[in-house]
Amino acid sequence: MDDIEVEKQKRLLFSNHDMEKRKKPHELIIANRELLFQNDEKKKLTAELILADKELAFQNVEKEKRAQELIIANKELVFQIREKKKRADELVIADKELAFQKEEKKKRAAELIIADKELVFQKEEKKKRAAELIIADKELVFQNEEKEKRAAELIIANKELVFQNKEKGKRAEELIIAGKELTFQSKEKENRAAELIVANKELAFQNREKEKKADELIIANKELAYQNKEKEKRADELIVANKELAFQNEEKEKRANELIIANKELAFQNKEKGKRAAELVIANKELTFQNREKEKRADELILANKELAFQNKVKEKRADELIVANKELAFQNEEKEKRANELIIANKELAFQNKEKEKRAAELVIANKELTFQNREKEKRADELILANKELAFQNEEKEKRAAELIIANKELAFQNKEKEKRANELIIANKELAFQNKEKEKRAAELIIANKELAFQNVEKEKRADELIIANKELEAFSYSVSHDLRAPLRHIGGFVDLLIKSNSAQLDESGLRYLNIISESYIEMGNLIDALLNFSRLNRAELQRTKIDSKSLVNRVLKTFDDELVGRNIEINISELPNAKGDESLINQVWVNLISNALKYSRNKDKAVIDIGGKIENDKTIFQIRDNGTGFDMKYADKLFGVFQRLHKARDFEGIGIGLANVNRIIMRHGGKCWAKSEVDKGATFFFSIPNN
Amino acid sequence: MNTDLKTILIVDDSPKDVELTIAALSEKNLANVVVVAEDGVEAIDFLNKRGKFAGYRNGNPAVILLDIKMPRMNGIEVLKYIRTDPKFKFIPVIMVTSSGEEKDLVECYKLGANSYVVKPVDIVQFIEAIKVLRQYWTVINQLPPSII
Repeated sequence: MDDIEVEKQKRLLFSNHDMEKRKKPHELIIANRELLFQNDEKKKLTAELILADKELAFQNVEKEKRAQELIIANKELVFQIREKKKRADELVIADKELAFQKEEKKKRAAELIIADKELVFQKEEKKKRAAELIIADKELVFQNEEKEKRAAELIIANKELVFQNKEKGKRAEELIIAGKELTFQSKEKENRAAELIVANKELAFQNREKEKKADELIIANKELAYQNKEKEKRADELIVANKELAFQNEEKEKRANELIIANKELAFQNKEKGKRAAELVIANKELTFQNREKEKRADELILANKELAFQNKVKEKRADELIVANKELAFQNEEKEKRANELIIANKELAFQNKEKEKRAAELVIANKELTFQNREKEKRADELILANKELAFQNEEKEKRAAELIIANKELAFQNKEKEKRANELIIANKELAFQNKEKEKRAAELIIANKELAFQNVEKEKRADELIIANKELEAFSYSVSHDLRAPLRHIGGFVDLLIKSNSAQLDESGLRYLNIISESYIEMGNLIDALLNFSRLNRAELQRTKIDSKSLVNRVLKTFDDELVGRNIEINISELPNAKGDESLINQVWVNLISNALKYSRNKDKAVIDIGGKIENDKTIFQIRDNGTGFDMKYADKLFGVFQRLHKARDFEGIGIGLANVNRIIMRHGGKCWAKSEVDKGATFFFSIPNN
Repeated sequence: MNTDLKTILIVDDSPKDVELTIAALSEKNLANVVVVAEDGVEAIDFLNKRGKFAGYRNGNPAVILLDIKMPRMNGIEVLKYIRTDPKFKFIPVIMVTSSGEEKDLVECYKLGANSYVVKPVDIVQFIEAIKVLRQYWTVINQLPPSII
């Protein structure tokens, strides 16, 4: 419509040109109307244009909205880019984690290799078990074949029973036919007698078969008894194996006290026990399986016995039927006799037929005699049948008794099997506990192995340190040897030539020169003493202690004797109280006494009367010796310097000495594991103590 | 004391020690004829009258003062030589040591040394050592057994 209107508009616009041509008034009016119409349509067009503008404006607004949406979308894109960067970072982290997981997978692969080796080992064991299973399967196959044989025999017996039933049905039908037909009674009786004979033969055959089945049942019972014996043997073997396991466990606990060798033996035994436990589990499973089979056989036996009982009942029914048939036969015989009498009376009435009838009568009499004879024989056979049926009934009673006994025996077997299953379950539980204990022992063995490895490592390190110490000692030895020789040589020359100088050139020297030379000479001697003392002190630390029992009293007396020269001219009182024996290196302890007694004598020189007390006592695990003098004493303030090397608490001009004596004493006593200490008061004397452990 | 000793052989590598020793011996006029060898090789040369001492005429020394630590050939090796050679094994030998605790002294006694003095040699020590020799010679006239 818009197009039409547009075209109308176009036409209208173009038609404006025609306005000038149209000069007639009606044409003008029409033109005016057309102009009005065109104006109206122009207004419509402008309105439509306004609408279109509004729509454009609206579309522009929408475009702006879309532009804003695009801006928002760009921001979202930027945001997504940032998120993608974050994800990229996360991917990097994930890659690192993957790498870490790969490492762990490698570790797992190593563990898998170890597990594979274990699997291989387990596969080998499984092969062994498979072989054992094959053997068990063969046994099972053999038993199954025997079962199949028995099943086949049972089927044959059932078929024979079915055949017997059919034949007996036939016999019943024939007996009914015999009752209906009189003329064929003798044949029918013969038939019945023949059939009875056949039936008896068949009964005899059945009885033989029953005897065979009874024998087979006996054999089956014997086999069950034999299998039960074998089960008992296996149970005994299991008990013995468990005792051995218990005994081995006791031995393991003893050996756990030893170190590496014992642990290796434990690990090996644990492996064997695992194997034995697995074998025991296998044996127990076999036992349970066999017990189930025996239960099945017992059930089958019960079923067979029930069938036998049922067959016996059926046979009794047949015997009863036979008795009923025999009674019917007897009744029929009575009827026949009545009819014979009637025939004789008929013969008497018929005169002209007497000859023939007499003949016939004679024949009838003979026939009747034969019939009676046959009847007697039948009665005999019927009696025999009755006896036979009684015997059958008796045998059936006996078989029922045996069946009942078998049922009781089967119940007892089932009960024993349940008990054996209980014992087998207990054995399985015990084996699980043993396996658990073995695992714990293996853990402890592994811990012990680790502890032993650490101990061995520590021992190696200790040996290294010991070797280092030995090397250090050797170096010290070489050092002191070098000191002893190389230091002394020039010292010797100094001393020797100074002495020569003093001896030979004294005339050329003045007093101070001589004095200087004397000082030099004394210094040389002093230096030599110092070197000797230092070397001795160093040697004390390296010398090997040779511990022996020391008679302290005699040792002290010997030392005192060596000081005899010093005692000359002095007023000295020496008191020796109890001196217990000690354990130590005699030569070194001798040095100790020498130094201490020498000090006591030296530092009491300032007193008119020197009093020295020597004693000792045993205290707990050590022996304490003491020596007291009443000499010059020392200030306790400096007591910690007493035992220092070259340390003195007095001036050299008051009391000579280089200060090595107490250091030697301390070093010796410390090497013995003891201690030195002292107490003193200035000018009132000093007491020195030393302790030696008693070992 | 018998003072008409013949030659005294001093074997020592340190001239200062030799001078001190001669000075000590001179105190009692014992240094009449002293021969000095500076190491073991020279000592053996002297005994065999060869090398440096080729023209020597005085025969074997009366006593040998033998230092232990010497270059080339030390005192112990010289002692071994002396005691194994039949011409010289009766010559008394006094070992000279720098300290009395020499471990080597034990071995020297085993090898047949007669005595020892400690350096520096002084006349008193020397005389004491000679006294030992005198006692030894008056008792036996052959190699001494091992003395520990």
